[in-house]
Amino acid sequence: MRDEQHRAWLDLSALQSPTAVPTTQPVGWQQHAPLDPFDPTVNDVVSVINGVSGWLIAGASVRGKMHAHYGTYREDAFTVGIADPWQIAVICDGAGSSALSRVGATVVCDALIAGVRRGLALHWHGDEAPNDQLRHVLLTGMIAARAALDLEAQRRGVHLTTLASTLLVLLHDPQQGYLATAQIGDGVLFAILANQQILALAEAQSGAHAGETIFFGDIDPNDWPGYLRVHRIHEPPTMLLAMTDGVADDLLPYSRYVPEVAEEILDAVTRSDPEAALLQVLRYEKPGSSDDRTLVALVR
Amino acid sequence: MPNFDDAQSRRLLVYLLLDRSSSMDGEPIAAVNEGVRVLHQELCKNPHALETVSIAFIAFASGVERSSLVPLADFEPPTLTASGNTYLGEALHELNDAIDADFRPRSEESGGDYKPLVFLLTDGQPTDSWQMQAKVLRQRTVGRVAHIVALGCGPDVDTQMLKDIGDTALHMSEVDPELLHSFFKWVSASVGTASIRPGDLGNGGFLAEPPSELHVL
Repeated sequence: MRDEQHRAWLDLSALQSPTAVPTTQPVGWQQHAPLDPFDPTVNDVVSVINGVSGWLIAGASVRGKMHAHYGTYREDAFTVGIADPWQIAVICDGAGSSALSRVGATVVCDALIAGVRRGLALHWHGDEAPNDQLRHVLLTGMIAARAALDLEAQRRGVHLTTLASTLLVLLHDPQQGYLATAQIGDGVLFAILANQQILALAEAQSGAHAGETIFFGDIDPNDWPGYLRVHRIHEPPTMLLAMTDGVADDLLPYSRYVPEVAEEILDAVTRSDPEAALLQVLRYEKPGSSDDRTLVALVR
Repeated sequence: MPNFDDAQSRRLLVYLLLDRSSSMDGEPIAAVNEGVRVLHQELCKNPHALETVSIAFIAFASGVERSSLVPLADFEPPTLTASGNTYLGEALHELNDAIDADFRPRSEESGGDYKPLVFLLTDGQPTDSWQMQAKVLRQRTVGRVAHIVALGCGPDVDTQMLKDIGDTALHMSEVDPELLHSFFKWVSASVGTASIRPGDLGNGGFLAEPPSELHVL
Protein backbone atom coordinates (compact mmCIF):
# COMPACT_ATOMS: atom_id res chain seq x y z
CA MET A 1 0.00 0.00 0.00
CA ARG A 2 1.16 3.49 -0.69
CA ASP A 3 1.12 5.12 2.69
CA GLU A 4 -0.17 2.46 4.97
CA GLN A 5 1.70 -0.12 6.97
CA HIS A 6 -1.38 -2.02 8.04
CA ARG A 7 -4.74 -2.54 6.45
CA ALA A 8 -7.85 -4.57 6.98
CA TRP A 9 -8.27 -7.33 4.40
CA LEU A 10 -11.65 -8.64 3.40
CA ASP A 11 -12.72 -11.72 5.33
CA LEU A 12 -13.80 -14.02 2.53
CA SER A 13 -15.41 -16.48 4.92
CA ALA A 14 -18.07 -13.87 5.64
CA LEU A 15 -19.21 -14.11 2.05
CA GLN A 16 -19.45 -17.87 1.71
CA SER A 17 -22.56 -19.67 2.78
CA PRO A 18 -21.59 -22.74 4.80
CA THR A 19 -24.50 -24.56 3.22
CA ALA A 20 -22.97 -24.31 -0.25
CA VAL A 21 -22.07 -27.73 -1.60
CA PRO A 22 -18.53 -27.97 -2.90
CA THR A 23 -18.46 -29.11 -6.47
CA THR A 24 -16.01 -29.38 -9.29
CA GLN A 25 -18.74 -28.46 -11.75
CA PRO A 26 -19.39 -24.85 -12.75
CA VAL A 27 -21.67 -23.28 -10.15
CA GLY A 28 -24.86 -21.49 -11.08
CA TRP A 29 -26.76 -19.05 -8.96
CA GLN A 30 -27.88 -20.46 -5.62
CA GLN A 31 -30.29 -19.33 -2.95
CA HIS A 32 -29.32 -19.37 0.69
CA ALA A 33 -31.05 -18.13 3.78
CA PRO A 34 -28.99 -15.65 5.75
CA LEU A 35 -27.21 -17.07 8.79
CA ASP A 36 -26.80 -13.73 10.55
CA PRO A 37 -29.52 -13.77 13.23
CA PHE A 38 -29.41 -10.03 13.78
CA ASP A 39 -31.53 -7.37 12.09
CA PRO A 40 -33.25 -9.71 9.65
CA THR A 41 -35.17 -8.42 6.65
CA VAL A 42 -37.58 -10.63 4.75
CA ASN A 43 -36.55 -11.56 1.25
CA ASP A 44 -39.53 -9.96 -0.48
CA VAL A 45 -42.00 -7.37 0.67
CA VAL A 46 -44.98 -5.92 -1.17
CA SER A 47 -47.76 -3.47 -0.40
CA VAL A 48 -50.74 -2.38 -2.50
CA ILE A 49 -52.96 0.21 -0.84
CA ASN A 50 -55.59 2.72 -1.85
CA GLY A 51 -54.18 6.17 -2.41
CA VAL A 52 -56.20 9.35 -2.54
CA SER A 53 -58.72 10.48 -5.17
CA GLY A 54 -58.97 7.02 -6.69
CA TRP A 55 -55.22 6.44 -7.00
CA LEU A 56 -53.50 3.22 -6.04
CA ILE A 57 -50.10 2.98 -4.35
CA ALA A 58 -48.15 -0.19 -5.11
CA GLY A 59 -44.70 -0.94 -3.75
CA ALA A 60 -42.48 -4.00 -3.88
CA SER A 61 -38.95 -4.92 -2.90
CA VAL A 62 -37.15 -8.19 -3.68
CA ARG A 63 -33.80 -9.54 -2.53
CA GLY A 64 -31.28 -9.56 -5.35
CA LYS A 65 -29.74 -12.78 -6.61
CA MET A 66 -26.34 -11.74 -5.31
CA HIS A 67 -27.62 -11.49 -1.74
CA ALA A 68 -29.47 -14.76 -2.26
CA HIS A 69 -26.32 -16.48 -3.53
CA TYR A 70 -24.17 -15.33 -0.63
CA GLY A 71 -26.84 -15.72 2.02
CA THR A 72 -27.12 -12.05 2.98
CA TYR A 73 -30.11 -9.83 3.59
CA ARG A 74 -32.04 -7.55 1.30
CA GLU A 75 -30.77 -4.02 1.90
CA ASP A 76 -33.46 -1.95 0.17
CA ALA A 77 -36.45 -0.62 2.10
CA PHE A 78 -39.58 1.33 1.24
CA THR A 79 -42.64 2.73 2.92
CA VAL A 80 -45.81 4.30 1.55
CA GLY A 81 -48.76 6.09 3.04
CA ILE A 82 -51.33 8.83 2.70
CA ALA A 83 -52.07 12.03 4.56
CA ASP A 84 -55.14 13.16 2.68
CA PRO A 85 -54.92 14.79 0.12
CA TRP A 86 -51.26 13.72 -0.07
CA GLN A 87 -49.68 10.44 -1.13
CA ILE A 88 -46.23 9.67 0.18
CA ALA A 89 -43.54 7.21 -0.89
CA VAL A 90 -40.05 6.74 0.52
CA ILE A 91 -37.42 4.34 -0.82
CA CYS A 92 -33.92 3.73 0.54
CA ASP A 93 -31.16 1.60 -0.97
CA GLY A 94 -28.66 0.39 1.63
CA ALA A 95 -25.01 0.67 0.66
CA GLY A 96 -23.55 -2.72 -0.21
CA SER A 97 -20.27 -1.96 1.53
CA SER A 98 -21.96 -0.87 4.79
CA ALA A 99 -22.51 -3.70 7.22
CA LEU A 100 -25.83 -2.45 8.63
CA SER A 101 -27.19 -0.54 5.68
CA ARG A 102 -30.43 -2.55 5.83
CA VAL A 103 -30.98 -1.10 9.29
CA GLY A 104 -30.21 2.42 8.09
CA ALA A 105 -32.55 2.05 5.13
CA THR A 106 -35.44 0.95 7.35
CA VAL A 107 -34.80 3.60 10.00
CA VAL A 108 -34.71 6.37 7.40
CA CYS A 109 -37.88 5.18 5.64
CA ASP A 110 -39.91 4.95 8.83
CA ALA A 111 -38.70 8.20 10.35
CA LEU A 112 -38.94 10.18 7.16
CA ILE A 113 -42.54 9.36 6.40
CA ALA A 114 -43.51 10.17 9.98
CA GLY A 115 -41.58 13.44 9.70
CA VAL A 116 -43.29 14.32 6.42
CA ARG A 117 -46.69 13.81 8.01
CA ARG A 118 -45.69 16.17 10.81
CA GLY A 119 -44.30 18.59 8.26
CA LEU A 120 -47.56 18.65 6.35
CA ALA A 121 -49.45 19.46 9.53
CA LEU A 122 -46.98 22.18 10.47
CA HIS A 123 -46.05 23.81 7.18
CA TRP A 124 -48.60 23.12 4.48
CA HIS A 125 -51.25 25.78 4.16
CA GLY A 126 -51.66 25.59 0.42
CA ASP A 127 -51.93 29.29 -0.19
CA GLU A 128 -48.94 31.57 -0.58
CA ALA A 129 -45.54 30.24 -1.55
CA PRO A 130 -46.58 26.58 -1.86
CA ASN A 131 -43.13 25.60 -3.17
CA ASP A 132 -41.41 26.91 -0.06
CA GLN A 133 -43.97 25.20 2.14
CA LEU A 134 -43.39 21.88 0.41
CA ARG A 135 -39.63 22.23 0.79
CA HIS A 136 -40.17 22.79 4.51
CA VAL A 137 -42.34 19.69 4.62
CA LEU A 138 -39.63 17.58 3.02
CA LEU A 139 -36.93 19.09 5.20
CA THR A 140 -38.99 18.29 8.30
CA GLY A 141 -39.02 14.70 7.16
CA MET A 142 -35.30 14.66 6.48
CA ILE A 143 -34.50 16.21 9.84
CA ALA A 144 -36.51 13.49 11.52
CA ALA A 145 -34.79 10.81 9.44
CA ARG A 146 -31.33 12.11 10.21
CA ALA A 147 -32.10 12.34 13.93
CA ALA A 148 -33.33 8.75 13.91
CA LEU A 149 -30.23 7.63 12.03
CA ASP A 150 -27.92 9.43 14.45
CA LEU A 151 -29.71 7.87 17.37
CA GLU A 152 -29.47 4.40 15.89
CA ALA A 153 -25.77 4.83 15.20
CA GLN A 154 -25.23 6.01 18.76
CA ARG A 155 -27.29 3.17 20.19
CA ARG A 156 -25.25 0.60 18.31
CA GLY A 157 -21.93 2.32 18.83
CA VAL A 158 -21.21 2.51 15.11
CA HIS A 159 -20.30 5.24 12.68
CA LEU A 160 -23.05 6.71 10.55
CA THR A 161 -21.45 5.23 7.43
CA THR A 162 -22.22 1.74 8.72
CA LEU A 163 -25.91 2.58 8.22
CA ALA A 164 -25.50 4.27 4.81
CA SER A 165 -28.36 4.36 2.34
CA THR A 166 -29.64 6.46 -0.51
CA LEU A 167 -32.92 8.34 -0.30
CA LEU A 168 -35.88 8.83 -2.65
CA VAL A 169 -38.98 10.70 -1.49
CA LEU A 170 -42.16 11.39 -3.44
CA LEU A 171 -44.95 13.59 -2.12
CA HIS A 172 -47.99 13.99 -4.37
CA ASP A 173 -51.30 15.83 -4.24
CA PRO A 174 -53.33 14.49 -7.19
CA GLN A 175 -56.03 17.13 -6.88
CA GLN A 176 -53.77 20.18 -6.99
CA GLY A 177 -51.05 18.54 -9.10
CA TYR A 178 -48.22 19.25 -6.64
CA LEU A 179 -45.24 16.93 -6.72
CA ALA A 180 -42.39 17.37 -4.26
CA THR A 181 -39.34 15.14 -4.36
CA ALA A 182 -36.10 14.58 -2.54
CA GLN A 183 -33.28 12.47 -3.92
CA ILE A 184 -29.88 11.77 -2.45
CA GLY A 185 -28.02 9.07 -4.33
CA ASP A 186 -28.95 6.96 -7.32
CA GLY A 187 -32.26 5.54 -8.46
CA VAL A 188 -34.98 7.42 -10.31
CA LEU A 189 -38.21 9.35 -9.77
CA PHE A 190 -40.42 9.66 -12.85
CA ALA A 191 -43.83 10.92 -13.87
CA ILE A 192 -45.33 9.17 -16.87
CA LEU A 193 -47.75 11.39 -18.71
CA ALA A 194 -50.75 10.38 -20.81
CA ASN A 195 -48.72 10.65 -24.03
CA GLN A 196 -46.11 8.28 -22.50
CA GLN A 197 -43.67 11.15 -22.07
CA ILE A 198 -41.34 10.42 -19.17
CA LEU A 199 -40.66 13.37 -16.90
CA ALA A 200 -37.75 13.19 -14.47
CA LEU A 201 -38.84 14.51 -11.08
CA ALA A 202 -35.42 14.65 -9.45
CA GLU A 203 -31.74 14.42 -10.27
CA ALA A 204 -29.84 11.23 -9.56
CA GLN A 205 -26.32 11.47 -8.20
CA SER A 206 -24.55 8.78 -10.17
CA GLY A 207 -20.99 9.10 -11.34
CA ALA A 208 -19.54 8.28 -14.73
CA HIS A 209 -18.80 4.78 -13.46
CA ALA A 210 -21.30 2.14 -12.39
CA GLY A 211 -21.60 1.73 -8.63
CA GLU A 212 -20.76 5.35 -7.85
CA THR A 213 -23.21 7.27 -5.72
CA ILE A 214 -23.62 9.26 -2.53
CA PHE A 215 -25.61 8.52 0.61
CA PHE A 216 -28.05 10.40 2.81
CA GLY A 217 -25.75 10.47 5.83
CA ASP A 218 -22.88 11.89 3.71
CA ILE A 219 -24.66 15.15 3.02
CA ASP A 220 -24.47 18.17 5.28
CA PRO A 221 -28.04 19.11 6.28
CA ASN A 222 -27.33 22.69 5.18
CA ASP A 223 -27.04 21.32 1.65
CA TRP A 224 -30.29 19.33 1.67
CA PRO A 225 -32.33 22.06 -0.08
CA GLY A 226 -30.22 21.44 -3.18
CA TYR A 227 -31.61 17.89 -3.37
CA LEU A 228 -35.27 18.92 -3.34
CA ARG A 229 -37.54 19.64 -6.29
CA VAL A 230 -41.10 20.92 -6.44
CA HIS A 231 -43.28 20.56 -9.53
CA ARG A 232 -46.83 21.37 -10.36
CA ILE A 233 -48.14 19.22 -13.17
CA HIS A 234 -51.48 20.37 -14.48
CA GLU A 235 -51.95 17.43 -16.78
CA PRO A 236 -52.41 14.49 -14.39
CA PRO A 237 -49.74 11.83 -14.89
CA THR A 238 -50.91 8.25 -15.42
CA MET A 239 -48.24 6.95 -13.10
CA LEU A 240 -45.52 8.12 -10.74
CA LEU A 241 -42.54 5.80 -10.35
CA ALA A 242 -39.76 5.61 -7.81
CA MET A 243 -37.09 2.93 -8.24
CA THR A 244 -33.76 1.98 -6.79
CA ASP A 245 -30.86 1.61 -9.20
CA GLY A 246 -31.22 -2.16 -8.98
CA VAL A 247 -34.21 -1.72 -11.30
CA ALA A 248 -33.54 1.68 -12.85
CA ASP A 249 -30.15 0.81 -14.32
CA ASP A 250 -31.71 -2.20 -16.05
CA LEU A 251 -34.21 0.05 -17.79
CA LEU A 252 -31.74 2.18 -19.70
CA PRO A 253 -32.50 3.66 -22.15
CA TYR A 254 -35.56 4.78 -20.24
CA SER A 255 -37.46 5.88 -23.31
CA ARG A 256 -37.47 2.28 -24.46
CA TYR A 257 -37.97 0.23 -21.31
CA VAL A 258 -39.85 2.40 -18.80
CA PRO A 259 -43.11 2.49 -20.80
CA GLU A 260 -42.99 -1.30 -21.06
CA VAL A 261 -42.50 -1.68 -17.34
CA ALA A 262 -45.27 0.82 -16.63
CA GLU A 263 -47.60 -1.34 -18.70
CA GLU A 264 -46.61 -4.40 -16.70
CA ILE A 265 -47.24 -2.56 -13.45
CA LEU A 266 -50.64 -1.40 -14.65
CA ASP A 267 -51.49 -4.96 -15.56
CA ALA A 268 -50.23 -6.29 -12.23
CA VAL A 269 -52.28 -3.97 -10.04
CA THR A 270 -55.47 -4.96 -11.82
CA ARG A 271 -54.97 -8.67 -11.20
CA SER A 272 -56.92 -10.58 -8.61
CA ASP A 273 -53.69 -10.98 -6.63
CA PRO A 274 -51.91 -7.69 -7.30
CA GLU A 275 -49.25 -8.29 -4.64
CA ALA A 276 -48.05 -11.52 -6.24
CA ALA A 277 -48.25 -10.00 -9.70
CA LEU A 278 -46.20 -6.99 -8.65
CA LEU A 279 -43.49 -9.17 -7.14
CA GLN A 280 -43.39 -11.08 -10.40
CA VAL A 281 -42.75 -7.84 -12.28
CA LEU A 282 -39.54 -7.50 -10.30
CA ARG A 283 -38.40 -11.09 -10.70
CA TYR A 284 -37.10 -10.70 -14.25
CA GLU A 285 -33.83 -12.23 -15.33
CA LYS A 286 -31.11 -10.05 -16.82
CA PRO A 287 -27.43 -11.07 -16.90
CA GLY A 288 -25.35 -8.74 -14.78
CA SER A 289 -28.38 -7.58 -12.79
CA SER A 290 -28.06 -8.97 -9.30
CA ASP A 291 -28.86 -6.11 -6.95
CA ASP A 292 -31.93 -5.78 -4.75
CA ARG A 293 -34.86 -4.34 -6.66
CA THR A 294 -37.40 -1.91 -5.26
CA LEU A 295 -40.08 0.17 -6.88
CA VAL A 296 -43.11 2.16 -5.84
CA ALA A 297 -45.78 3.12 -8.35
CA LEU A 298 -48.56 5.61 -7.77
CA VAL A 299 -51.17 4.66 -10.31
CA ARG A 300 -54.12 6.74 -11.46
CA MET B 1 -40.64 -7.78 -18.13
CA PRO B 2 -39.07 -6.28 -21.25
CA ASN B 3 -36.84 -8.30 -23.55
CA PHE B 4 -33.31 -7.40 -22.47
CA ASP B 5 -31.54 -9.50 -25.10
CA ASP B 6 -29.68 -6.63 -26.68
CA ALA B 7 -29.40 -4.43 -23.60
CA GLN B 8 -25.97 -3.55 -22.28
CA SER B 9 -25.09 -4.75 -18.80
CA ARG B 10 -22.62 -3.29 -16.34
CA ARG B 11 -19.18 -4.84 -16.70
CA LEU B 12 -16.17 -5.11 -14.44
CA LEU B 13 -13.12 -4.69 -16.67
CA VAL B 14 -10.04 -6.60 -15.56
CA TYR B 15 -6.64 -6.10 -17.17
CA LEU B 16 -3.66 -8.38 -16.55
CA LEU B 17 -0.28 -6.80 -17.28
CA LEU B 18 2.18 -9.69 -17.62
CA ASP B 19 5.94 -9.36 -17.84
CA ARG B 20 7.35 -11.84 -20.37
CA SER B 21 10.85 -10.44 -20.57
CA SER B 22 13.79 -12.82 -20.97
CA SER B 23 14.36 -13.12 -17.23
CA MET B 24 10.97 -14.81 -16.96
CA ASP B 25 12.13 -17.65 -19.20
CA GLY B 26 11.61 -21.20 -17.97
CA GLU B 27 9.60 -21.98 -14.86
CA PRO B 28 8.46 -18.40 -14.20
CA ILE B 29 6.68 -17.89 -17.52
CA ALA B 30 5.27 -21.42 -17.31
CA ALA B 31 3.90 -20.51 -13.89
CA VAL B 32 2.38 -17.31 -15.26
CA ASN B 33 0.67 -19.20 -18.07
CA GLU B 34 -0.66 -21.75 -15.61
CA GLY B 35 -1.65 -19.01 -13.18
CA VAL B 36 -3.76 -17.18 -15.74
CA ARG B 37 -5.39 -20.47 -16.64
CA VAL B 38 -6.20 -21.10 -12.97
CA LEU B 39 -7.48 -17.56 -12.57
CA HIS B 40 -9.85 -18.05 -15.46
CA GLN B 41 -10.97 -21.46 -14.27
CA GLU B 42 -11.69 -20.21 -10.74
CA LEU B 43 -13.56 -17.13 -11.87
CA CYS B 44 -15.74 -19.21 -14.17
CA LYS B 45 -17.09 -20.95 -11.08
CA ASN B 46 -18.46 -17.63 -9.83
CA PRO B 47 -21.84 -16.90 -11.45
CA HIS B 48 -21.65 -13.20 -10.74
CA ALA B 49 -18.18 -12.92 -12.22
CA LEU B 50 -19.39 -14.82 -15.27
CA GLU B 51 -22.08 -12.22 -15.82
CA THR B 52 -20.04 -9.10 -15.12
CA VAL B 53 -16.31 -9.64 -15.66
CA SER B 54 -14.65 -8.86 -18.97
CA ILE B 55 -10.94 -9.56 -19.12
CA ALA B 56 -7.87 -8.89 -21.27
CA PHE B 57 -4.16 -9.34 -20.92
CA ILE B 58 -1.29 -7.10 -21.98
CA ALA B 59 1.95 -9.05 -22.23
CA PHE B 60 5.08 -6.93 -22.39
CA ALA B 61 8.73 -7.49 -23.19
CA SER B 62 10.49 -5.63 -26.02
CA GLY B 63 7.06 -5.05 -27.47
CA VAL B 64 3.51 -5.28 -26.31
CA GLU B 65 0.85 -7.84 -27.09
CA ARG B 66 -2.71 -7.02 -26.09
CA SER B 67 -5.68 -9.36 -26.26
CA SER B 68 -9.19 -8.12 -26.96
CA LEU B 69 -11.34 -7.45 -23.93
CA VAL B 70 -13.88 -10.26 -23.85
CA PRO B 71 -16.46 -11.64 -21.43
CA LEU B 72 -14.98 -14.08 -18.98
CA ALA B 73 -16.57 -17.10 -20.63
CA ASP B 74 -14.94 -16.22 -23.95
CA PHE B 75 -11.45 -15.57 -22.59
CA GLU B 76 -8.68 -17.86 -23.79
CA PRO B 77 -5.68 -17.93 -21.42
CA PRO B 78 -2.50 -17.19 -23.37
CA THR B 79 0.60 -19.31 -23.77
CA LEU B 80 3.32 -16.73 -23.35
CA THR B 81 7.00 -17.15 -24.12
CA ALA B 82 9.74 -15.10 -22.53
CA SER B 83 12.33 -13.03 -24.36
CA GLY B 84 13.38 -9.41 -24.63
CA ASN B 85 13.37 -6.35 -22.46
CA THR B 86 10.89 -4.96 -19.94
CA TYR B 87 8.95 -2.22 -21.68
CA LEU B 88 6.59 -1.38 -18.86
CA GLY B 89 6.00 2.13 -20.21
CA GLU B 90 4.71 0.70 -23.45
CA ALA B 91 2.51 -1.66 -21.52
CA LEU B 92 1.02 1.19 -19.54
CA HIS B 93 0.51 3.14 -22.74
CA GLU B 94 -1.29 0.15 -24.21
CA LEU B 95 -3.38 -0.09 -21.05
CA ASN B 96 -4.47 3.52 -21.34
CA ASP B 97 -5.38 2.95 -24.98
CA ALA B 98 -7.28 -0.19 -24.05
CA ILE B 99 -9.35 1.58 -21.42
CA ASP B 100 -10.07 4.42 -23.84
CA ALA B 101 -11.38 1.90 -26.33
CA ASP B 102 -13.12 -0.51 -23.98
CA PHE B 103 -14.64 1.48 -21.15
CA ARG B 104 -18.30 2.47 -21.42
CA PRO B 105 -19.21 5.42 -19.21
CA ARG B 106 -22.67 5.85 -17.80
CA SER B 107 -24.99 7.46 -20.34
CA GLU B 108 -28.63 7.76 -21.24
CA GLU B 109 -28.25 4.49 -23.07
CA SER B 110 -26.66 2.35 -20.36
CA GLY B 111 -25.61 2.26 -16.75
CA GLY B 112 -21.95 2.09 -17.78
CA ASP B 113 -19.07 -0.04 -16.55
CA TYR B 114 -17.55 -0.31 -13.11
CA LYS B 115 -14.09 1.20 -12.65
CA PRO B 116 -11.48 -1.17 -14.10
CA LEU B 117 -9.10 -3.32 -12.09
CA VAL B 118 -5.48 -3.83 -13.08
CA PHE B 119 -3.10 -6.58 -11.96
CA LEU B 120 0.57 -6.11 -12.86
CA LEU B 121 3.19 -8.82 -12.59
CA THR B 122 6.86 -8.11 -13.22
CA ASP B 123 10.20 -9.56 -12.18
CA GLY B 124 12.60 -6.80 -13.02
CA GLN B 125 13.21 -3.19 -13.65
CA PRO B 126 11.56 -1.38 -16.55
CA THR B 127 13.86 -0.73 -19.47
CA ASP B 128 11.82 2.13 -20.86
CA SER B 129 10.34 5.29 -19.48
CA TRP B 130 7.11 4.47 -17.64
CA GLN B 131 6.48 7.41 -15.33
CA MET B 132 4.49 9.53 -17.79
CA GLN B 133 2.08 6.75 -18.70
CA ALA B 134 1.66 5.85 -15.03
CA LYS B 135 0.73 9.48 -14.41
CA VAL B 136 -1.75 9.42 -17.30
CA LEU B 137 -3.28 6.29 -15.81
CA ARG B 138 -3.65 7.93 -12.42
CA GLN B 139 -5.17 11.09 -13.81
CA ARG B 140 -7.89 9.45 -15.85
CA THR B 141 -11.38 10.79 -15.22
CA VAL B 142 -13.33 8.54 -17.55
CA GLY B 143 -12.47 4.90 -17.05
CA ARG B 144 -10.67 5.83 -13.88
CA VAL B 145 -8.88 2.73 -12.62
CA ALA B 146 -10.32 1.59 -9.31
CA HIS B 147 -7.35 -0.32 -8.04
CA ILE B 148 -3.96 -1.47 -9.28
CA VAL B 149 -2.32 -4.49 -7.70
CA ALA B 150 1.38 -4.65 -8.56
CA LEU B 151 3.32 -7.83 -7.83
CA GLY B 152 7.08 -7.87 -8.10
CA CYS B 153 8.84 -11.21 -8.30
CA GLY B 154 12.44 -11.87 -7.43
CA PRO B 155 15.37 -9.88 -6.07
CA ASP B 156 15.82 -7.56 -9.06
CA VAL B 157 12.43 -5.91 -9.09
CA ASP B 158 12.16 -2.16 -8.54
CA THR B 159 10.02 -2.08 -5.41
CA GLN B 160 9.71 1.69 -5.45
CA MET B 161 8.24 1.46 -8.92
CA LEU B 162 5.71 -1.08 -7.62
CA LYS B 163 4.69 1.29 -4.85
CA ASP B 164 4.48 4.20 -7.25
CA ILE B 165 2.25 2.34 -9.65
CA GLY B 166 0.24 0.03 -7.40
CA ASP B 167 -2.46 0.88 -4.89
CA THR B 168 -1.52 -2.47 -3.42
CA ALA B 169 2.10 -3.45 -3.98
CA LEU B 170 3.32 -6.95 -3.24
CA HIS B 171 6.71 -8.61 -3.48
CA MET B 172 7.89 -12.19 -3.56
CA SER B 173 11.60 -12.53 -2.88
CA GLU B 174 12.14 -15.38 -5.32
CA VAL B 175 10.28 -16.22 -8.51
CA ASP B 176 8.50 -19.23 -7.09
CA PRO B 177 6.07 -21.08 -9.36
CA GLU B 178 4.03 -22.37 -6.41
CA LEU B 179 3.73 -18.90 -4.97
CA LEU B 180 2.77 -17.51 -8.37
CA HIS B 181 0.05 -20.12 -8.44
CA SER B 182 -1.15 -18.90 -5.03
CA PHE B 183 -1.01 -15.31 -6.24
CA PHE B 184 -3.26 -16.03 -9.19
CA LYS B 185 -5.72 -17.88 -7.00
CA TRP B 186 -5.76 -14.84 -4.76
CA VAL B 187 -6.34 -12.61 -7.80
CA SER B 188 -9.30 -14.75 -8.84
CA ALA B 189 -10.79 -14.51 -5.34
CA SER B 190 -10.24 -10.76 -5.32
CA VAL B 191 -11.84 -10.25 -8.72
CA GLY B 192 -14.72 -12.46 -7.61
CA THR B 193 -15.40 -10.30 -4.59
CA ALA B 194 -14.79 -7.11 -6.54
CA SER B 195 -17.65 -8.08 -8.81
CA ILE B 196 -20.03 -8.19 -5.84
CA ARG B 197 -18.69 -5.22 -3.88
CA PRO B 198 -18.45 -2.39 -6.40
CA GLY B 199 -18.58 0.14 -3.60
CA ASP B 200 -15.24 -1.16 -2.34
CA LEU B 201 -13.42 -1.03 -5.65
CA GLY B 202 -11.71 2.25 -4.97
CA ASN B 203 -10.61 1.57 -1.39
CA GLY B 204 -9.38 -1.96 -1.98
CA GLY B 205 -11.91 -3.32 0.47
CA PHE B 206 -12.62 -6.18 -1.91
CA LEU B 207 -9.10 -7.61 -1.45
CA ALA B 208 -8.73 -10.64 0.78
CA GLU B 209 -5.45 -11.09 2.63
CA PRO B 210 -2.76 -12.07 0.15
CA PRO B 211 -0.73 -15.28 0.59
CA SER B 212 1.48 -14.87 3.64
CA GLU B 213 4.63 -15.43 1.60
CA LEU B 214 3.96 -12.24 -0.29
CA HIS B 215 5.37 -9.16 1.35
CA VAL B 216 3.06 -6.15 1.32
CA LEU B 217 5.19 -3.14 0.43
